[in-house]
Amino acid sequence: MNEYIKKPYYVDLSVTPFCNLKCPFCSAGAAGRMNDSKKAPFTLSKLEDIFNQLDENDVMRVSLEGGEPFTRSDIIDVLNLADKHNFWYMINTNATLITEELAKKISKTNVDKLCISIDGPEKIHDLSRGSVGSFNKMKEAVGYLNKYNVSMDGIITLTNINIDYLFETLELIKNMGISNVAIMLLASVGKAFCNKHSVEVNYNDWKKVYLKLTDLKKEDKLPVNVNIVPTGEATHPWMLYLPLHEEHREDDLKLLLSPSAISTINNNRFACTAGTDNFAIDGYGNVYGCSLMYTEKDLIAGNVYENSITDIWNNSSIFKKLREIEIDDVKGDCAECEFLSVCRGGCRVCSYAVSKDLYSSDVRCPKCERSL
Amino acid sequence: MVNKLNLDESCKPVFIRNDGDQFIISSGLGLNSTSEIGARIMLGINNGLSILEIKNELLETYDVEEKDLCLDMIDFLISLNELQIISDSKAKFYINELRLV
Repeated sequence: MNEYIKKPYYVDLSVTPFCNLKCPFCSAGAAGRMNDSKKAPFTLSKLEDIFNQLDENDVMRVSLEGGEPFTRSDIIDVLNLADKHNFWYMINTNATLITEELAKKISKTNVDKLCISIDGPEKIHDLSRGSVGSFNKMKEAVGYLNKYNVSMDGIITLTNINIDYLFETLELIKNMGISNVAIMLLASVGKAFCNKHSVEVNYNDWKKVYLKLTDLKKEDKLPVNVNIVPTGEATHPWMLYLPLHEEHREDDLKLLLSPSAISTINNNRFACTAGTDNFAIDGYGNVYGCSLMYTEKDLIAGNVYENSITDIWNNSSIFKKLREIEIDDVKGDCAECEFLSVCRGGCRVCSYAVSKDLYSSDVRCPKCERSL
Repeated sequence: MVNKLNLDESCKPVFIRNDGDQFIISSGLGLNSTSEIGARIMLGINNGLSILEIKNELLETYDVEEKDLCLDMIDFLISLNELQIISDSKAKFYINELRLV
């Protein structure tokens, strides 16, 4: 079996599957309101059990997410619980439910930062988030969080809806007092897969924006610190490598890539790190290799109501499969691609969403002849 | 075991885990390095050692030229500063000391 970390180092934990917005690209396929499930959201005692198990496994970083974490009325209790544990944690949120009172309470916890979804100017953000008024609520919350000195990053999920407004959005985020922004490249999973014709970014549009971002970074003219987060978190993912290669600018690759490039996997592996150094728990307790897998039920590695996290990490057949995949196993156009050893295959779950095969090519790449 | 390090009161904490054959270092910006030397530098700073004391410990542990080690340490301290793990003033102080070697 390929090399993998004996204990996971980071975990995405969905503290609730429910959300108050209706983003058409939600990878989690978040539900709009409570259903009859007895497993969701987690009770505080179940969360404490999960947190204890994360400590037992020496997990270093936990991302609390949803759904929307602030749909929980006891979210401050959740944060107070997390404060008692060894891991560093952050919260992914749309911020629309954060009142001044909540902002003040958040400031008294040890949360490292809130990652706030900010997709564009008012009308674009509201369209992107599927809810009129969400921009103004988010903006108001950012004001409260600034008032109480809560650390924040901006997250822009780049789609066909907002790509034309990206540079305006970076200025807007700067003016909101936020200095770090992650641009998340869309994963074609969950609702994004169902709505791909309206949300997926065309490669040429992306290339144009990416080259401009790179130029501005080089000239030190970006209004905020920008970090591009590709799906699959590859070292040299095709969506970052290919546009630069086509312009003979490979040396610029390091300008906007995350400094967290990982070196825990060998060079013959897919770049995908799902189940090799991290995993994710959805709002119903299902464990997956990563949070982009939440709508792919065949990829469930276990459930925290039925198995211990240690048992799932060490014995799940899905995790074993994810760790065994090597780039020589890839099927389709990627197998013949001259860049396979550089990009190492793209996002596994984006491939799986199309073919139900973890070994298939990432057909979002323009080097794949088969287009969707 | 996860060690939470507060290298600089004005900056973010980092977490270090020793997995036996490698160190894993995590901060607010994700996994930053699996460098053993980097981990030892951070642990040293956290334990209140001066940068020259840390350098001497590393020289005793690793078979490296002092000049090369200082250059590596400066690069690493610059990274720590860029990642907001140590402040500008602290980074400059350490780097100047190493440049005098």
